[in-house]
Amino acid sequence: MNGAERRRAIQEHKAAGGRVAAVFPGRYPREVLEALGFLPVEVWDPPLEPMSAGAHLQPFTCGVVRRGLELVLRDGLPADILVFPHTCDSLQNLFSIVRDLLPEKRPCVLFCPPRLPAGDDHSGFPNTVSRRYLEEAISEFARQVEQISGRSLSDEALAQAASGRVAARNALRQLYQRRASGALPCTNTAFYEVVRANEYLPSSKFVSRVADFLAHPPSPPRIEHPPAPPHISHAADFLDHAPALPRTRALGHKWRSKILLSGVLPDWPLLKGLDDAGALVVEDDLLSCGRRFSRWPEDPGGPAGSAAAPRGPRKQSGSCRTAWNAIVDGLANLPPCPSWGSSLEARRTFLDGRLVASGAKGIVFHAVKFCEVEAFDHPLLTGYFVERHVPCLVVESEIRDAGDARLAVRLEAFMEGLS
Amino acid sequence: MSDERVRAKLSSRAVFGVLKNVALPLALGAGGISRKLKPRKRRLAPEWAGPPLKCSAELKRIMTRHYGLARFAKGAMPVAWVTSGFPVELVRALGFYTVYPENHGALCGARKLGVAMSAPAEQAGYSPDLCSYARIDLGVAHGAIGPAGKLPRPDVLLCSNNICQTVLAWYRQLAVLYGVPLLVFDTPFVAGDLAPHEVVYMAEQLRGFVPHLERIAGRPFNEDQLKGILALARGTSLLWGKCLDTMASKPAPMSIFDAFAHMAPVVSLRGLPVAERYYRILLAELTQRADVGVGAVNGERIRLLWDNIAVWFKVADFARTFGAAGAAFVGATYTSAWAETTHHIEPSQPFESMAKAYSLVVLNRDLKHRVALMKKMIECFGIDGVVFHSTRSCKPYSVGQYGIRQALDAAGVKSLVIEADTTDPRHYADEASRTRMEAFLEMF
Repeated sequence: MNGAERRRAIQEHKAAGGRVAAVFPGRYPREVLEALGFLPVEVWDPPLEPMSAGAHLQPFTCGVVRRGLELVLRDGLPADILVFPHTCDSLQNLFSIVRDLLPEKRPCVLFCPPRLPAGDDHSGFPNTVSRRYLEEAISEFARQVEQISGRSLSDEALAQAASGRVAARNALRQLYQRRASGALPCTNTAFYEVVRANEYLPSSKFVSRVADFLAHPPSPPRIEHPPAPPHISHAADFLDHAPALPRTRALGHKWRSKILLSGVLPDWPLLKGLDDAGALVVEDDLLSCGRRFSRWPEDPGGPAGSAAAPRGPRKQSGSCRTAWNAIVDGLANLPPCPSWGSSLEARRTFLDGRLVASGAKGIVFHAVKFCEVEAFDHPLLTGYFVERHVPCLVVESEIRDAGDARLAVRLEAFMEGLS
Repeated sequence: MSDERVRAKLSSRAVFGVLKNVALPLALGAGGISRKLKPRKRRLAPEWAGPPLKCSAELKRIMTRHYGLARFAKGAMPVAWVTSGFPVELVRALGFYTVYPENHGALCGARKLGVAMSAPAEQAGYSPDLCSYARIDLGVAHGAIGPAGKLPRPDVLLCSNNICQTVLAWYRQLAVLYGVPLLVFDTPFVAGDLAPHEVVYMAEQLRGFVPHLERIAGRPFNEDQLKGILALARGTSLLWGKCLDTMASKPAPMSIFDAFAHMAPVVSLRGLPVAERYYRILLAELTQRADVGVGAVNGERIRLLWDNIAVWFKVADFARTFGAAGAAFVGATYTSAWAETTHHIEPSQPFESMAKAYSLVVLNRDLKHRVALMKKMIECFGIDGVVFHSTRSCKPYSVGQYGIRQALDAAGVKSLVIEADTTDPRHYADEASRTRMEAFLEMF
């Protein structure tokens, strides 16, 4: 993630008189914040070692939550409000710790979506109830942010924010399509630097950033030949001249195997490990990236929106109603996610579809240590795909733990098996 | 339904009826008599311990019967696996036999079988960092058999996320492993007051479950029957609340370690007459003990509050350690969770009132509410200190405890945090914890 670019985006927005909303992980109606003049800046893996957070959180809390709290405690967030999507138990309680138990003065807002997304009827759950509640939850969220900001949502601002987000999602879709087609053989690190710019850039700037990237993609990694090991005659020689064992294999983009990455976020040691192991991530099922936009083309007031008239407390008409539907649809039509209670069947179908569309040869399931929501699904998902001869690897690591050699070794072994 | 299936069902029902009304009562009665006749080495009660509750034998009989019948329920009646926070009254009205995997997990933990029971799940790839109740239950799905014998396969899974989001992840696995439908009662987190649209959302979900449950049960839903069951469940929970209230007496007639066991009927049999009958007996005994000044701990001098689920494999040890120092646990946020919101149940408005009662439980509310609840308990029960069980198996209960402790500390309440787990002893350091407990008790 590009920290300098993130800081610049915040400064520019503040300099123009705008306000900043720090948004903790999960899926939320971003358009509402933007329409009310906030720049949403997402907090996934701040580069801070959790020290003070240890006084408030047990060691078995995941790194995303601990680092997020560390950022709050060190006052490292130039934000005016803090937004907490209800994603898991730990984030739910982080919201309450920050709002109720810390001397935090900034307003904290919780966005509580339904646990069963519309369109996923694994339980025979009445979808209309779920969709209606989603709409009401967005309305409630908007009402709270309006109250905090002292501004009302205008029809024009809402329509503009909604169309901006549609454009940003289209840009992401294009980016992923190009990646899957093989036209973007850059490193995984470079690819996700662009994808993750969506965490803090306004939609128009993000669209330009993607366009620039597509117009001038970075070159693929060069082939590196590992140095020949020195001749060793004695153990003493070995100790004196202990060579750094080549972790990277001879990599050329022609040799790289396409994979699909599933998990919470593209942590940089993970991306580096994948780069070093010769993996080309062509599609993902990451909560912070690929589960944030639907894979089929959309337009404002798309298919589901045109069918269901809003019933929520908000009165809409004309362009505002279309924008409102686009916001609700934007969330209702997102890919399946365990944090929203999607069924395993829905997840399998989604992953199956992405494997075929991207041509990925295997799946790497990455679990952030202590993330229960993701970890529960791994045995049954891997079992399903292995039965279908799709190689799978489950790896677990702490956020930003560059010293975890096990991760690199396991990725390397998996990629060897794939090639 | 074919004739053969009808015959099989009738025969299962007949077997179940005989077991329920004749064989099990006889067997349990005979067991009780033989235990009484059998010369046993009499264990001397420790000096600190008050006389044991007479009700315990009845509790054991009820729970043994419940798990005994469970083995024969399949085929005789539809079987539902239910989370502890699901509005079970709805399925009782349709004649389901209910099994509580959490209760079963606690039973396995208390028998120190947590690791063995979760081993098959861990071998199947489930991380040892996951909730240990879930691992035990997934272990059952992968062939483990616990102290209660084989659990009947579910016909439907019923899950509510009012206690945690983990149950949702856990039951999604069960739905695939058993190939049965999963009904999720989604209760939005209450970060202040419950909004009217949230009540509507929850009530609509409950109404939406009815046709699915009717189909599985093969019988029509009767709202009047639900109202009757709700009244019974409300009565049971209120009685349980009164039982807990007797612990405000000094000395407390029962300790929380007793309550951890005696809460089983309100969790597992809520809405059935047997649970209500049991709490009438328990309340009578506790009232009588309170009247004559019989306590769970002789020479009670320290009164404590417990926060979180029990450390099931250490209940007896903790009772000994604290009891020997004259410390009695007289309150717990955990045990009172099945009584706290009962007053919201209104049989005349079954769906809306269930929505309120089940979404306002302590774990579905913000930490400000929990601090207020604990302060109220500290005042009402004359509590001197708090013991927090920080369990890695239950994040909604544990994450935030350090902050609650600081808030109580500011109010002058002494406290201790024990790092452990509900059923997995691999996450518990005995000596380190004992030292901390001793140091804590010396503070009084």
